[in-house]
Amino acid sequence: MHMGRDFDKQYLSMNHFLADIEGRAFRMAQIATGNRDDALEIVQDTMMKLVQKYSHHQATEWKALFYSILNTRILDWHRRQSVRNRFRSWLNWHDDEDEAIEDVLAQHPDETNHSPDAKLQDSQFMASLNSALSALPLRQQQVFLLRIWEGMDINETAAIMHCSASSVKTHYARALEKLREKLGDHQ
Amino acid sequence: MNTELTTETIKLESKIKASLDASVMGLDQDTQQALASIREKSLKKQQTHTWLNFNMWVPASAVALSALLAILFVYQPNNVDDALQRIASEQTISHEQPEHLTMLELLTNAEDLETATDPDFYVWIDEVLATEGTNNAV
Repeated sequence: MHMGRDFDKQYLSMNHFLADIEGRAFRMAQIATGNRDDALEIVQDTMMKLVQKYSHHQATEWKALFYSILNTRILDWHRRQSVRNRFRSWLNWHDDEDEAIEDVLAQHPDETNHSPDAKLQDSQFMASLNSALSALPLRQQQVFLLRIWEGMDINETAAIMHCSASSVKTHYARALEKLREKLGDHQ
Repeated sequence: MNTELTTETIKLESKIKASLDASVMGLDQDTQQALASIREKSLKKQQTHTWLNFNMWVPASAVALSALLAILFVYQPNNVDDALQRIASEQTISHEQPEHLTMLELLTNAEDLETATDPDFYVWIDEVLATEGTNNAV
């Protein structure tokens, strides 16, 4: 994998670091939760905890710490959600207004300078990608995004995910295989 | 075949990364503002936290100093002397109590009954108690 790697980027301040990372963190949380407000809340919790507890750490450690907190928050969200869903199914309570999965198309970029055809293709790819990523099991999703998007190596990802390097390799391979199956037509 | 697969994989990975980057660039204005506001709030918390940490020493020191002054005021040397005198006088007043207890002990103990019936013993014990009384009185 020879992705563009900005992991060793030097951050001048916490503000600089958070400004750089917030968009990607939000998208990761949004893909994991399928909900904009929940994603914002998760990012807020993560930022607060990083700033309060780890701002005195070296700037080179911030990214790993940030994603470690973010992934834990996302995991907590899923646990709470599964308990809530179990409780709801037990009560047979359906609330149409609650937990509406957002239309992923709403997040599409529309400021590109591509031709209409290319734009449409990008848009379709984005929709398929969002759907395919959301369908991945959480651990696979997190490993895949950390590796491919943040350019983290296997050991860094393993440290953030609190798992072994071989688990990271397995999760990544499985995630990539599923994505290849679902996005194959768009290549 | 393997090379083809690797090339395809690299191509797919690049496309996915580019698409994800584009999704961040294309975040709507509201979300971008919300994120900026969250960041600002977090950083303010950091400043408040540092400020609190520094200023927490001021009231803590003030409370400790007040407590120390209060202790020194209440237990100043004159007051300590008064307290000692009070304790000493209490001890003198309660000096009668051991005499009764001694008599009770002698009467209830069978072994010392012979001694208790000896008139010389009472003369001796009166002398002893009188001596103790003068020694204990401070």
